[in-house]
Amino acid sequence: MAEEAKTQEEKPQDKRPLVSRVPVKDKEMLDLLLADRGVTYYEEMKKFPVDTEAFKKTLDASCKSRIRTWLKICAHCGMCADTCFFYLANDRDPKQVPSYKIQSTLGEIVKRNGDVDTDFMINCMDTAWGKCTCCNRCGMYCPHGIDMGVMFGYTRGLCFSQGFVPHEMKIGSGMHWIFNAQMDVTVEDYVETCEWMVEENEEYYPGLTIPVDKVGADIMYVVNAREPKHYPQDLAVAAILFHLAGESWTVPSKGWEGTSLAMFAGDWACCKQQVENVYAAMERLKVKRYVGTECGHQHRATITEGPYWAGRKSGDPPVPGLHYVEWVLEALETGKLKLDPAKKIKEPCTLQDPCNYVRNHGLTDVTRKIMSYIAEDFREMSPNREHNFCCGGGGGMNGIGRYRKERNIGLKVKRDQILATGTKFVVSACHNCWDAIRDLEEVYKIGIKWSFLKPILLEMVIVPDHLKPKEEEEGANE
Amino acid sequence: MVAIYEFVRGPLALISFAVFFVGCIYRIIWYVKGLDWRLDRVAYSTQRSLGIKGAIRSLFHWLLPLNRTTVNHPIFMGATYLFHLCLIIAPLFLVAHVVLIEESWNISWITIPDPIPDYMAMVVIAVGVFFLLRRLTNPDVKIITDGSDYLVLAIAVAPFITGILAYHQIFDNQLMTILHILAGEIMLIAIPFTKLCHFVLFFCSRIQLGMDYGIKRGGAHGRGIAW
Amino acid sequence: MNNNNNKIILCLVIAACVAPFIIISAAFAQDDIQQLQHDIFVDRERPAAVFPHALHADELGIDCLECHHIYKDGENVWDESELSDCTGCHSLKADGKKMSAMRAFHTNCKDCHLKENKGPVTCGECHTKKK
Ligand code: HEM
Ligand code: SF4
Ligand code: SF4
Ligand code: SF4
Repeated sequence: MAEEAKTQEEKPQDKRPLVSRVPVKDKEMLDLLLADRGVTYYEEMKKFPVDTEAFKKTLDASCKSRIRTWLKICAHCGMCADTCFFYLANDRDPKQVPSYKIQSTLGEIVKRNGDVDTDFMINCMDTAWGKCTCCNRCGMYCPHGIDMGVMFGYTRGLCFSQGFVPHEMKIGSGMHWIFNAQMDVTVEDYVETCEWMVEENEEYYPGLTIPVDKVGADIMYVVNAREPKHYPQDLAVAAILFHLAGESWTVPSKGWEGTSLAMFAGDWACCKQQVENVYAAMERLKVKRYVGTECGHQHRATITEGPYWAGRKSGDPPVPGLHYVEWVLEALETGKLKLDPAKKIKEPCTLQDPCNYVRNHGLTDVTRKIMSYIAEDFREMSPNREHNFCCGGGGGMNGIGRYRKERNIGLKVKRDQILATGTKFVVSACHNCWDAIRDLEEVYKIGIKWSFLKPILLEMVIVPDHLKPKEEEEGANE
Repeated sequence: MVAIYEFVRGPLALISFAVFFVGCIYRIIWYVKGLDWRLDRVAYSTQRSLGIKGAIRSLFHWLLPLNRTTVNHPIFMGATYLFHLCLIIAPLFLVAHVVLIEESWNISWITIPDPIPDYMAMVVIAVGVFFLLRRLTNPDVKIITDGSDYLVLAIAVAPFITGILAYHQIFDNQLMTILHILAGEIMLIAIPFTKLCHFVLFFCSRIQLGMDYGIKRGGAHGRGIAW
Repeated sequence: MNNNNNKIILCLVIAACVAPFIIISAAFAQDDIQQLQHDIFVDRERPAAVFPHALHADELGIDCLECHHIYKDGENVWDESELSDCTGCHSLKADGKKMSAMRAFHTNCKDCHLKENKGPVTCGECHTKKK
């Protein structure tokens, strides 16, 4: 198979096939895929053969007793049906019952020991990415403890190894191979963005810095590539809040990006190299702790799953890893950050619990405590905490054009949850959820606003006197 | 017919108990050996105490009806708890079974008065019929049902139907008793090979997921998540 | 009307006179044992086992010593003058070498039935419900 891949690469570039069993590791291929926008890609896929021999080997090596047991003992009782938001959003379509989705894909693959054809694999792909966000909700309700989210994660890996992966996911993992980031942002770009953000803001916050590669800092802050690329202001606000809280912090140059589209794509080798960059930065800079930005899957990839990809037997990253909300709560509780109670959000507001750090990392109460500092009329969604429904855009769903229709149907559950709270303002400390809620408003126009925590905190934070700009201080004295 | 009785009561009983015990133990060994901290992404051995806590939590909430699924589906979950309770208690503590085992292998344990397992067997049959009807009518269940589900249900309920007929001496008693013993032996032999192996693998699966949540998915944070 | 009343009274009187005879004859009929009715089985789970003594001893002519026994030095020394009450020796619980009463009956009956390929062997065949 490796040889085949080589000969593929040696063909003239206009003939290079877009679908392949190997990840994208060169810029040229990446550009070809980007230019194609999925059209030829999915056409090619319809004719792309399954390598059943390799498939058998992959199954032997990776499909062990846990997954085989789950597939075998499933009582076919249907208790998982109404736990999946896709099932609810699609008017209780039996084809959306989690057990059905997994039995008809991975279950068949295992039964036939990898002896499946192209059409079958395309259906697997459409199920693993188009009918599941790997939110893991169903697993919490199955009497046998069968976690379909985990199994779909595994199925994605199988699909990836056979080349049956949505266009954007193939590109996503390619980006990580080439740029060590989910977008084409280089280390230089990132460092420049940091400098630019300091320049833009130091006038208002004298002494503001974004220390790059400072050895021995307390906190290493790691971002989502979307921030430097599309919302650099987010980086600035993070810096301002660290600055006001008086933290000793730094951002790494290499290893600055914490997300992993490779995880959504099921490209496990890429996940490993991606997270090892971040861990190398932790070790290089000898920091005490890691704080990641307001991103759910970044936390999942770097802190929860990452240690295992990197082969860390302890299951922990090299230094303790905090989600941004954990740092915020700590800063509020210790008084490092002081908020002006008069500026609390007056209107009723609600909170989106992202699966990736709530259900899958137990941070159930942190955000609620933060809400008590920032909101006067906070109303829970129902269900909430670890029982919350996925926003509807997780697991890479938001970014995949092929499943846009399915995604928009799925959003109905979150829409109705929000409507039921009677609030018009949703706080969301997760990029994916934030996107999904934005798109939800675009599609269903229910008249809501949504926000990350950082902008809200910046509005309310009390700037200590010694950190205020000179003029203002003088003005205040007069 | 007496010869058949002798066979099912003697050698076949021994064989089926042996298959049952060896098979179940094999299943457990197979399961534990197949766990892989890297593939499963759970640090089983290095975070043992969090793991044990999570496992106990998971078993506690699911062996007892203390979970959201029971709240959301009280009728089905109530039925299944009752079904399993009766299915295990009735044969295990039935006087006649204990007497026969004592006469064969000289071991015995406490028993319960006959009318109780009698009612329990009726409960098993009634819930079995409920499961069957649900499989035939509920579209969500229908789509995931295959032949093995009916087979397994039949294997599980058959000893109770024949048991009641034998106990109440309906039809020819010798025939009924033979069929009853045979049905029980088929069940014992089927447990390791069919999905009735959930008899042991349920515990494995719940413990594993409990450890997963306990170790990786937040067991170390806040109040922890219950499964 | 009077006539009718008299008839009823007459019937009752006859019944009252006949009843004792029926009861007494039934009691004497114990001689021909039909069931293993032993008082030590206080809380019975199953009806008393059917055991037609005459069928075994008279019609089939089975040697008394097949069932009745008193062992001395490994030899069965029972004779008709000796105690015939099984539960006089076999009590509810096994006692040393002595089997429990239930075990003794089960072994005695079933082993023989199986060996001879005759007679009931399953629970319900002996412990029949009153019909
Ligand atoms: C302690 C041991 C056992 C546990 C914890 C257990 C647990 C479960 C669970 C969680 C389910 C899925 C929910 C449901 O469909 O009711 C189930 C289903 C089932 N179990 Fe068990 N089980 C045990 C032993 C057994 C045994 C020994 C049998 C029979 C030999 C059995 C027969 C069944 C059947 C037939 C079903 C499927 C019911 C249906 O058709 O929906 N179980 N069990
Ligand atoms: S709830 Fe669990 S056992 Fe029941 S059908 Fe779903 S996955 Fe299978
Ligand atoms: S993991 Fe989430 S999206 Fe996937 S099947 Fe389960 S509940 Fe549905
Ligand atoms: S996008 Fe948010 S809610 Fe959806 S799966 Fe990810 S973390 Fe969960």
